[in-house]
Amino acid sequence: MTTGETALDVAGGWQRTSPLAVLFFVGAVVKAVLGNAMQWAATFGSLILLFRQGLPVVVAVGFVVGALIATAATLRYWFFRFRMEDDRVRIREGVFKRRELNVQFDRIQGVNLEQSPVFRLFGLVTVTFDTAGSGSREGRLPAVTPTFAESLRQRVEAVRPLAAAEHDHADAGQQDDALVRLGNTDMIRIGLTNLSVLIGVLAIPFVMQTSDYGQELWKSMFERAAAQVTGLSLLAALGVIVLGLLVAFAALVALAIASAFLRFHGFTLRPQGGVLHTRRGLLTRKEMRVEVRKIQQLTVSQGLRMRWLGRFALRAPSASVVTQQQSVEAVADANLTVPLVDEAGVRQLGEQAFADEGQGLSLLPGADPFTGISPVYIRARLLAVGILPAALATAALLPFINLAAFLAIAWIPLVAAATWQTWRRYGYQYDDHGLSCRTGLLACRVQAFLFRKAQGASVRRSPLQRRKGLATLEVVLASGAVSIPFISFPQACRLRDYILYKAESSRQPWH
Amino acid sequence: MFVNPEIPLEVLPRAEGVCWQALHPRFIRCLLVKRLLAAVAALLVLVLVYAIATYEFNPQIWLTVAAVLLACASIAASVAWPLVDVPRRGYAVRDKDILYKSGVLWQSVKAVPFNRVQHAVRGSGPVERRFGLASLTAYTAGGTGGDLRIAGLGEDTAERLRTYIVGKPGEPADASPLPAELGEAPVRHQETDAAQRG
Repeated sequence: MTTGETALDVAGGWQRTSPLAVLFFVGAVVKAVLGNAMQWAATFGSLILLFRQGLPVVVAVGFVVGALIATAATLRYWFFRFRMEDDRVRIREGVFKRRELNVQFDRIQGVNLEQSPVFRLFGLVTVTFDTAGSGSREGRLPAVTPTFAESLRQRVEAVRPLAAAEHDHADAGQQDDALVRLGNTDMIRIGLTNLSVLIGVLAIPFVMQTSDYGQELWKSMFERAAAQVTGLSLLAALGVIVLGLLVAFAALVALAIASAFLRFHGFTLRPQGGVLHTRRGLLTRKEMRVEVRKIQQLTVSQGLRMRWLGRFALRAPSASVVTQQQSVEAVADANLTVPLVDEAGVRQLGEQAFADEGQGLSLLPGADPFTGISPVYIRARLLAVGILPAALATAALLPFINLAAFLAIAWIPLVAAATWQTWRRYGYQYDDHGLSCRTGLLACRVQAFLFRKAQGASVRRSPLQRRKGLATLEVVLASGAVSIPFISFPQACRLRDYILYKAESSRQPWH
Repeated sequence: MFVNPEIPLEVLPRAEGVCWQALHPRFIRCLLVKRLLAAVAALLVLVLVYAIATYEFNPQIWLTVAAVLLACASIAASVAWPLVDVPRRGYAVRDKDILYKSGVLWQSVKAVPFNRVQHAVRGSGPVERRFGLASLTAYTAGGTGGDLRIAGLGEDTAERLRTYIVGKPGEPADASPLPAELGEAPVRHQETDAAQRG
C-alpha cells in the first residue's frame, strides 16, 4: 500500500502499483477469456464434459486453470509499470507484446475511480482516465491509494486553470444538493425496464439444447414434470404449468432488479462548478467526473416501459472513446449516463449541460415545439424499405414456392405503419445556440447539441428530394452524427450555414 | 426570456454561392485507367468462376448469354462512370472552412470548418503518382462520418491545401467575417416547412 503513497515522491521513476493489483489482473484475464463469445461457448461445453468425469478430475482441472490464470495475472502485474512526469503519465504494459501509453495531462478527459469490494477492504482504488483526440485507448492504474488518485486528479485539473478555478469555487460552497439521487424503488424501476437481462436468461434453454448433456437434463426435467402432472387432473396440471411460468418470470425480473442494484445502487449526480460528479455501484463502486464543457450532446430516451413509469434515460457523451467501445456496459462506463430520471431532472440536467446557451431547446419528447418533416419521407421509405424489397423477394421466390411468394407483399403494410409512426415522431427544434431532434418508432429519443460543438455539416439530396425541393441535413458531432431528413432545401442550407458560422466563430473550445 | 429577432438572411455567407473548383483535368483519365485495371481483374475472376461452374454442369445457352451481357454491361458502366461523376465533383476553400460536393443521383455538399480539423493527410496510390495526382483527407473528431476526402487533386495543390488546413486552426478566432450582431440571431424560418407539411 505504501507503494502508492510514495508514488508522487519518486516522480519520474518507473514503478509498479500495489501487489494487490494482481487481483485486478485476475479479473482482466477472466474477462478477456469470457469476453470472446466463441471461447465462452467452448468453456461452457468443456465444463459440461468435465462434470461427467467425476470430482477428482474436476478439482484437478480447476486447479490447473486457476494456476494458469494466476500466472497470467502475475505476469501482467509484473510487466505493468507507470511513470509520472511533469506534464504526462506513461504506462508500460504487456508481457509479449509491449505497449506504452503516453498521455499528456491536458489530453485526459476525466479521472474516474473504481473500487471493487476487495480493494475497498484494503483502501485502494483503480483509476481510469479517458484520452480524447489521440484515438488511443483509455488508461488504467489498478490498486493505487485514494490520496494518489486525488493528487493525480489535481494535477490533471491544474493543467486547465479554468476547470480548477471552478472546482475551488464549488468546494467553497460545499453542498449536498444532488441533482439526481436514485433510491431503492428506482432500482426496481430500472430492473423492470431492463430487457437485456431477460434476453440473456431466456437464451439459456437454447444454449442447453446445443449440448448432449443439456438435452438429457432438459428431458429428465420434462419427464419428472410429466410424471407429476399425470397424477393430477387437467386443471391442476394447467395450474402447475402457469405457476411454473410465473415463477420463472418472477425470477427473471428479480434477476434484472438485482443487476440494477449491483450497477446503480446509491446513484447520485452532483454538479460541482463546471464538473458533473457521479457515484454508483453496490459492490464495485464507480466514481466519475465529467467536465460540462466536454459534453458533446444530450440524448434523452424513453422506451415504452419508461413512458409507463413516466421516466427517462439520459446520456451525455463526451468526445472520448464513444465510437470505439463495443459493449453497452463499456459505453456506460465511458460516458455520463443517468439510467432513470424524471422530467424535472431532465430539465435541470439540460440547464447544467448547456449552461447559458441553448436554454430554448426542448429535451422532452412529449414537448410541443418540434417541427415535423415532410410527408414525402413516408413515400421514400416505403419505396426503399417496403415495396422494392417485397417485389424483389416475390420475384426471387416465385420459381421455388409458387404463389406463396406473394406473401412477401404482407411486408408492405407493416413497413407503411412503422414509417408513418416514425414520420410522426420525427421533429426538430432549434434556438440561437443549438438544435434538438426527436426520433423513434416505439421508443422515443431526443438528441440535443450546441451548434458550436459541430465537427462538420452536410446537405444531401436524393433524386426524389430534388424534385420535391427537399434535403437531408447531417450534422457531425464528436459523439456521432445527427441527421434531419426531408426538410426544405433552403431551410437545410440556412441551418447548415448558420451551424458553420457558429462553429467557426466560437471562441470556446469544443472539447 | 428567449428572444428571437428576425434577421436579414442575405447576410449569412451561403455555401451555394461559392465558386466550385473542378478537380484536376487528368483525374478522369487516372480513374479510367484504375477502373480498366479493376475490370480486367474482375473479368479474369468471372472467367475462372465460369470455368469452374461449367465443369460438371452445362447451363442453357440463354442463361450464359444473359450472364455475359450482364457482366459486360456492369463492367462497362463502372469504367464509364467517372465520365459522368467526376465533372460533378468539386471543392471550395473558404476563409474558415472547406466544402466538397459530389454525387450524381444522390448529391451532397459537405463542409468541415478548419478549426475542427484534427489532422490532414495527403495520399497517393501508384496509379495516381503516375498521373501526378494526390488525395487529401481532413480528419475531424467526428469519426468516419466527419472526415472529408478529396481525391484527384494535383500533387502540388494537395500539399499546399494540406499545409493551409493544418496551419489554419492556430489563428485567433476573432477575425469573424460576419457582423457581431449576427451572433445572437437565429435563422428561423419554419413557415416554409409548415406550409410543406400541410
